[in-house]
Amino acid sequence: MKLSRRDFIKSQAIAAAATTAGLSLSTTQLARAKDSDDDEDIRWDKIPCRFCGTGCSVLAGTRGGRIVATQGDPDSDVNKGLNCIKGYFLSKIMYGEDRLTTPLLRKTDGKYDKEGEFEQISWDEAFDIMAEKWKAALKEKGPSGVGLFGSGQWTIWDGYAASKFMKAGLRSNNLDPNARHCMASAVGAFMRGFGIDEPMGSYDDLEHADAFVLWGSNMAEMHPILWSRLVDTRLTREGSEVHVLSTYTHRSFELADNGMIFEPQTDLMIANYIANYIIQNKAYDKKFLKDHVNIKKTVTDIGYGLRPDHPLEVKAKNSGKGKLSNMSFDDYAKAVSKYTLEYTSEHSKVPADKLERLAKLYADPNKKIMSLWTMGMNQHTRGVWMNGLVYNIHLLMGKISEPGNSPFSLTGQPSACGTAREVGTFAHRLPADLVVKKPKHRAVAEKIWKLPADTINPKVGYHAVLMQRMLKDEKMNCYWQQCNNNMQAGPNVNEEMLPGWRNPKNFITVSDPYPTISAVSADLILPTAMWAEKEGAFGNAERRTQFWRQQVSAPGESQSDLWQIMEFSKRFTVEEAWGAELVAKMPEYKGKTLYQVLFKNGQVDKFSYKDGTVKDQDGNIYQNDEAKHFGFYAQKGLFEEYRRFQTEGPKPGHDQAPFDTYHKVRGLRWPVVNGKETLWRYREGYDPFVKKLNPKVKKGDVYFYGKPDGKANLIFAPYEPPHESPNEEYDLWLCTGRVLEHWHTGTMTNRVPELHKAVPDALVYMNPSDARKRGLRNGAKVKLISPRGEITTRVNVRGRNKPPKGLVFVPFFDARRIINKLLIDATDPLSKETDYKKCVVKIVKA
Amino acid sequence: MKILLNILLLSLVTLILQTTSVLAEPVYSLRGIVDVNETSEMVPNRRSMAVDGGIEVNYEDQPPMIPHGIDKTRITLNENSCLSCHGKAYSKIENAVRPPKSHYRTRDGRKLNQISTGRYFCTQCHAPQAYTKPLVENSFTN
Repeated sequence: MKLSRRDFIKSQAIAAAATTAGLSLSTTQLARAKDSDDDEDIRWDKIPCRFCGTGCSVLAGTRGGRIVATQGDPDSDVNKGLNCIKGYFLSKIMYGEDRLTTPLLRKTDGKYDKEGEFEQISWDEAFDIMAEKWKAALKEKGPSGVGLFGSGQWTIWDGYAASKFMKAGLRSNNLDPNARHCMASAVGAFMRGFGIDEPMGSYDDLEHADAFVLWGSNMAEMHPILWSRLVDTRLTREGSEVHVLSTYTHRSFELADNGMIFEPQTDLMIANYIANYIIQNKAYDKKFLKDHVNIKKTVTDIGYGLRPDHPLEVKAKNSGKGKLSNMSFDDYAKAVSKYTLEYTSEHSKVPADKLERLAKLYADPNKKIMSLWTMGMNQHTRGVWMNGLVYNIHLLMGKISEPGNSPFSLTGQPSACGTAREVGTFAHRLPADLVVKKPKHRAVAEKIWKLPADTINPKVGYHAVLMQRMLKDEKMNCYWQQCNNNMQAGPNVNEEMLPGWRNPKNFITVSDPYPTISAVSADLILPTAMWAEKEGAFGNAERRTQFWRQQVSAPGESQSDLWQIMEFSKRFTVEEAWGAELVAKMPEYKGKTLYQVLFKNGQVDKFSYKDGTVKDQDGNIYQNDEAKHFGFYAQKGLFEEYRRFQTEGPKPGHDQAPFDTYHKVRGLRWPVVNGKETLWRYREGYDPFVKKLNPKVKKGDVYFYGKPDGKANLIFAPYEPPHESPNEEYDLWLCTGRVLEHWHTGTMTNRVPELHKAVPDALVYMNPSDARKRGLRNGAKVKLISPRGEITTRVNVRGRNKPPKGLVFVPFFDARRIINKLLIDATDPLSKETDYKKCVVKIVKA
Repeated sequence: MKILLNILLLSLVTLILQTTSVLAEPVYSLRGIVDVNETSEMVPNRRSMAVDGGIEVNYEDQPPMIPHGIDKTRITLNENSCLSCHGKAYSKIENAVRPPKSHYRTRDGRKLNQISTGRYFCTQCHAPQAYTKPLVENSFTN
């Protein structure tokens, strides 16, 4: 951190104090502000926020080995010094007094006992019992007997090491991130439509677009800093407008020029109606379609990702299928012609004039449009289809891959993109968009990882929901969960999660900084270093990779996820993990541990480390506990090895900058070529890969190089009904989600007193007439019941969320009210992402 | 409260354990003693805090919490009722906190006469506080 920055911050602070002096600050506050102002021993350093996928940068102030303040980073292009309420309280997230500080194992009479009480143990004992259980499961079931459930909150190297340990080490593809619950549908649509994951545009579109359309996204609460940029444009640009689509009224409607409440699932109709409108009015861009787009259709009647014996799966003709076939433009036009204004308005219950206004906006060739979406579209039993239908609109109009014309899938986790997607910690993936089922892709990974041929298992592993089913069914016996709280965040907790965890045949390990409900439901708890307690890297929703240095030490014996994975790998010999046959292909590995083969292998350990290796531009020295422990700069070695996938693999356009660069900059958006980031992909003039891969493309023209013929897929998909709908007994829709002040399951934010006091409880938001009908007033005590579980809470009919008749909303941050007990584990059959936005419930007085 | 007691107990137990080297200790989530498969007790009725002179901040750049309820406040495309007291021009209430200078700048740092439109939705950073205890004590110090 430069001194000038510190001076700037100081002057800002003085200004802030002066402005508010005498108005709100008490004398003690002023005194303290002055004190710390004079305090020269606070070290300030950049670090990305720990919460959502926006990727704001903050400045963390450290003194005496503790974070003592945080503030928005003025040098960050993402947030320019601004944070949301959660970001401003990052300083407190590590200091909840119930931090876990030693490994804990359920024991009776000094021995592991599934029914025993948690007792403190050493790391050695923790890995002893874990290795014993994992080896037994591997022996009995093979690689599918064990699984690791990770996170879009993992750092890039946490995820990369996990992928290497599971896929190369244990030859198991039972590795999935909780990002499956939030981003998998977006990924599916990117791969089907464009052949490369992640948005073509960037946050800069927020300043370039004329109009914004929110499809199932409450940005005002979930992406407040991006929302503030959008609001800025809406309120300062002539003719700017905001359209918001949702199944209930929320804070983003406060800015809406055209707010639309639709019946759950009918977004599929609305998107097809817009395409129909564009075609009927001949507004589409003929040349763009001809040059850059293939028209396809997807097989239909694909089920709901439930267990195969569920009546809905048995009934579905093409359960789980996603095959595409060619379609002529005329056939496409005919297919969408069913979705007329009248038909769509009748079924969606959105007034016709509002729908038409939205369609006209998209059809106007002179309006630059940014479409934005998050969980409303992804957590959808037709999430991949729905993502695709929005791309269809942009492709029809050619409104894509240029400033302001931008279909933009937002992410919910800080490194859902950087780790879960780019590193490829999904059950079907390898780094840099490679997949386990393709022999060529496996061969690339085996070469870079220095493995014998055919080490990597070609069989796709268990995804998030399937892991829980397989635990319950005793097909998978060992499960390790890192960096997330799936017992609270996963669906159908009572029927499909808890039984598998508490099944005596299974051994469950949870790594977490805090005693979450996942941790207390496990057999072994590993205390985990978090956020500023380790060196890290996240990748945000606009392809921006951001690094941070370790600011402070973790409490007690806590260790990072990376440390835990690397240490655990020491417990397996290649013979145990691979079998003698495979080892014989590379005899030099004989008798070695997975640690020696995967990490201390002359490649990952090639960057040496000693105190003083990690320094900032002012010469401040930072610790790196993992590097010190292992004796080499593990994070750098892992990252540099990972980068090889971007250039040596068959999928171009993923290049990142060298490791050291990222410690100096406020992140860079990949592909990074010659130090230059890419703001808009696929368009010549913005994206260096266009010319590189097709020299014939002229400046300003588009080349979708993720597909072999350089063309994107426009994919027709029809409306299909939801997996369940309100009936006589369960007469309401339940939609779940977040609130601004809390993040996900509240593991961190519930422990910040100010955030807890801001929103202490998960209430049920409902329509006043639905409440009256049940004899309920605002604040009434109720029980919410679904066929799968129940919670108690109070009614809110005047809150920030205002559902229409027939729908209620409950947030999922509150550990004391596990709303996900009520959910059905229905997923998008293609992406396997759970639908958290619709299931049936009833509400009775409690 | 129950959780706080538990934590107190827990730390006591830990103290005892350190001297006697017995290692058993209860581990509670934010559900306290209520198991995952049970139903938690009912949410108490909450009220927003009303604090004269404002709620103390932890450090300079922390947005102050709102020391009053905001049930009747409206921020929409056409009105921002926070600013009718807190805005420069429309101060209805004399001691309403004025936003600091940082709020009168564009994203790029240019000075403005009015509050930046990028900061139009006050509740992105500022929230009222309910009368309730923390679920878990926090040992942050500034």
